[in-house]
Amino acid sequence: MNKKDTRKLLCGLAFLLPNISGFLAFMAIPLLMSLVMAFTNWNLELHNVFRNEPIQFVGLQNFIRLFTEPDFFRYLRNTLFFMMGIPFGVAGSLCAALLLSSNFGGGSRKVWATVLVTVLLTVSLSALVVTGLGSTAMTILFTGIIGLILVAGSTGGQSVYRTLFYFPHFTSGVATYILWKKMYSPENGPINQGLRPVLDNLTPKVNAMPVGIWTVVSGLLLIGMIALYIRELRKKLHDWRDGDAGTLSLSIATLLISIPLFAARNWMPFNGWGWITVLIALGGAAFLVRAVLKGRSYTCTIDDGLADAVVLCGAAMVGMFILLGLSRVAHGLPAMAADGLEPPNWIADYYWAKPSIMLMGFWGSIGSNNMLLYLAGISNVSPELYEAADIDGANSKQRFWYVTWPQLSNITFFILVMACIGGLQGGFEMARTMTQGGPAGATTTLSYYVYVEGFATGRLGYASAVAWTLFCMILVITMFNWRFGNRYTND
Amino acid sequence: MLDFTLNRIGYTLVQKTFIIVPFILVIASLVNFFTQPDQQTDRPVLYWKSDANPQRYEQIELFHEWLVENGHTAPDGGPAFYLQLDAANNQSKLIQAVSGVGGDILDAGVSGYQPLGVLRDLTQEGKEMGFGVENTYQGLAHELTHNGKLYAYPCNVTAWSLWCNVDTFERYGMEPPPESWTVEEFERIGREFVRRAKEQDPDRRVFFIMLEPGRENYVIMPMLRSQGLDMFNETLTACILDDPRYVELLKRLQKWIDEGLLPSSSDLASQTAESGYGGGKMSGLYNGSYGMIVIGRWSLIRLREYENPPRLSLSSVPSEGFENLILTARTATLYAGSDHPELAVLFFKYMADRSYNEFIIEGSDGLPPNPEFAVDNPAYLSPPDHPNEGNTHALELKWAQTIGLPNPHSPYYKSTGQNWSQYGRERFLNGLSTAEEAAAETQKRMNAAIQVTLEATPGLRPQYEADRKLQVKIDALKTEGKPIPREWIRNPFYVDYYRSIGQLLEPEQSDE
Repeated sequence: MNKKDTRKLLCGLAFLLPNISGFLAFMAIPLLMSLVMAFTNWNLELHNVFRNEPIQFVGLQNFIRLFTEPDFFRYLRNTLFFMMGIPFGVAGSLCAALLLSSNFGGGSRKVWATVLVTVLLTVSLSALVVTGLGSTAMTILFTGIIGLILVAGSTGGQSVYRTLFYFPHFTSGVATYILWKKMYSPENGPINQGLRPVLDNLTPKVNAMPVGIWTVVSGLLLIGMIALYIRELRKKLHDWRDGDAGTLSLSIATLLISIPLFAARNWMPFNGWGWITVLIALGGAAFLVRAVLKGRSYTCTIDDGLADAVVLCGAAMVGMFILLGLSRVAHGLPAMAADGLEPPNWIADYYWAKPSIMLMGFWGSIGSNNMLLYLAGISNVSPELYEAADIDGANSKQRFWYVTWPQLSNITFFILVMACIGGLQGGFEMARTMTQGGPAGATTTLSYYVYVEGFATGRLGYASAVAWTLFCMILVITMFNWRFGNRYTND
Repeated sequence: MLDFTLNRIGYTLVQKTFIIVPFILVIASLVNFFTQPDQQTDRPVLYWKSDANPQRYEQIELFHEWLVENGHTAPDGGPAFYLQLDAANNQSKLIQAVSGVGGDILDAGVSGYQPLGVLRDLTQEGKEMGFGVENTYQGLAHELTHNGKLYAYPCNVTAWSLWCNVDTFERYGMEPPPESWTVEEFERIGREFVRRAKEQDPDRRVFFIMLEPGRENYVIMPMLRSQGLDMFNETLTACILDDPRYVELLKRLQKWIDEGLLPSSSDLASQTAESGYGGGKMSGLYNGSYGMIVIGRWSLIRLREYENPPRLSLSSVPSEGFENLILTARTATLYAGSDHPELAVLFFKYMADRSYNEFIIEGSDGLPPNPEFAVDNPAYLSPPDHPNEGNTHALELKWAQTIGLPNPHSPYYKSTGQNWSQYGRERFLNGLSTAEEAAAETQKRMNAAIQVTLEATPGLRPQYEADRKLQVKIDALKTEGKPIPREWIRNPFYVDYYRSIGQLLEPEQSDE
């Protein structure tokens, strides 16, 4: 290296120095320190500038405590529960992107239709106010907001809607959480203000219906869950036979969709019938084993289609859980209606606290960066593909499933992986602002646990161990992304 | 060629910008440094880590005047040093304190900060300058000291009692509740209040008492203690809440919520997000949504702001024998890393002196730290501008001096992840467990947390083991119905309780 090259190198390094210094001071060194701390007894009571006690290496003691402590798994379960909302968030942002990529431009019939709807809304609102039915502030507020959005959209077009949808993302998190806390207010919140009259009307209707109907509905929903399981199982088996999915993918897919069936053993609305779903899951597994042993005509590598299995069967698993939950609700509805149907207490209730926060997360994720990624992805889909699909006579549904969806697969996978990473890290701000981790620990996530252990009790060693365990989970997901991300895109 | 020239220009521009940016940063740093309060004056500047309450600034102004009046002056006749407020939240305070940059005076609790070793012993200075436990409320001794050494002095004090809006009770044709009452009286009056409120205001939700989340212990613990039970045992080595008395109390809480005497968690979640001193419950008391709220004298800061402040009266927490209530304080401590400890102690002397106490009395920012300036002081007992405040001042002062006890605290207990007593209560109130299971779970969790604390802080173990041995002896004496030596008991509640029932063996008695 001559003098000139050295000078250039030094100059380049000097340019990079501020960034490197910042990275070292605020990222790399603290990160390394926390890794070391995870194996020590670092405790603010013993180790600070006024205490001279030597820091002791305790080996894996912090990790052993962590894995033998039931609370860690409880908070991990809470974290994973919140992550079950991810498929909905992804689907929501995709829908938003599809909607916003449609043409809302002026001059078309759509504008006149929108204006007409707005006028109708305004007239309806006036009628409600005149007849005394719209006297609640909420009715006026909601109707006013919808009208405003429609008018703004019809005049401003796509950019207005895109801005509106993106709003949650650039609104400060804490402000959003406080807003939602008020929305969830059981007595005065707008959600329950809206739900209460609906439930008041529904109560006598439910009470008037024979209890047997709800038992049938509950049973149908359970059958729906089982049907979804069979559908997914058959689909995966077809993929495997056609050489589109490897044996590992098939096994993981089967495992994922079997989880709700095993869970149904405990959550079954019909007491004593839980064994049926377990039997179905075992039967499905046996059927699969038999099919695999029989062999297939087209082969592929063991992990082919793994990402596809995780994404679609993961979504199916969440869908099955929802059907199971609805089945329980339908089964218990007559008993609930007997005392009068009441809207939920949302974040003040142990059972509703988690779904409430998931709902809020869903709202936030629809208008997030994911939506922008999808918008960019949709605009990159080659028009020739759509033209070809049109020539083949594809309808709009087929256009989506056979052109748009595969073309967006890389974005979907990226979003899903990032959402999983975010999900594992998330929950701190919400818990701190809205629930303090309660009621009875229902909304305490791992990140909130790290904070409490680190800053409330001062046991930095243990808090670091929790943080690094969390990191390992995130690493596994990232490795999964590296390993299968490209393949999924190319599948 | 053009590309090359443009590249060259760009390169030069970036190079120059790169040199200019650090230069600007250096200049900005220098400006920042020279505009620091320390650089503006030739005398020392001390920092007080506290909240950014407007009253703090006035208290600092007053302190500067006090320094001058008491001869602590610079050659120019001004104060010998300046005190500067350094607003910090609890988390920043903790991090700064353990990192060696905690200012000079810290608003901090002794139980949380003394074990960190960041507080300076004030025992000697307190004796010389007249600030110490004997210059404040005896019930605060546990909050100000550690192993007999003084580490803090209160900035203001609260005896948590039930503040009643007399106008609300009058509207329902009722007398305000008595100063002292039993649980049965509490239930009877409460039910009557709720019944009349429902009759007269059927469309409005009115509660007898507002019990704020996170502050339930200000009612629960005095009620429990009135029956002779505390959260921790006599030597503070174990949680003892798995007891029929606590189970019964949990069931009572549920019953009171069901009967509408107390708001449920969903009712509380529906309250206004109003913030500031006292939050939404102050409006609730004023507008009659609550008959009573659990609070202290500092609530008057807000209540006096109303155009027509309500008439007030005070009741103690209902008792089943041993009358008591929780006494707390916002305490100032001297940071061990202070560069000017000899000057900072003057602030503690100031807080025990007349001008500061009169300021607290006038501004109604809680009880004054030194009760000597409130007892027999008409300006405190019946402020002429506020006749609506009735007996509140006199009663809170009397209770603080006589029946006030600190919050339950054990040096061996540090909550791991949750507030376990609240956790147990929430499980029960959410229908996740029975009252018996909730009490057992609370005790199990808290005792497990004690073991974790002992493992994380091995230095505590010798004392813990010694205390455990004492506890065995205490339990044996209790079984035999014999009095317990005073020096064996570390829990201040049990000292007072056993004394009240004649089961305490004072040191002079044990010598005999």
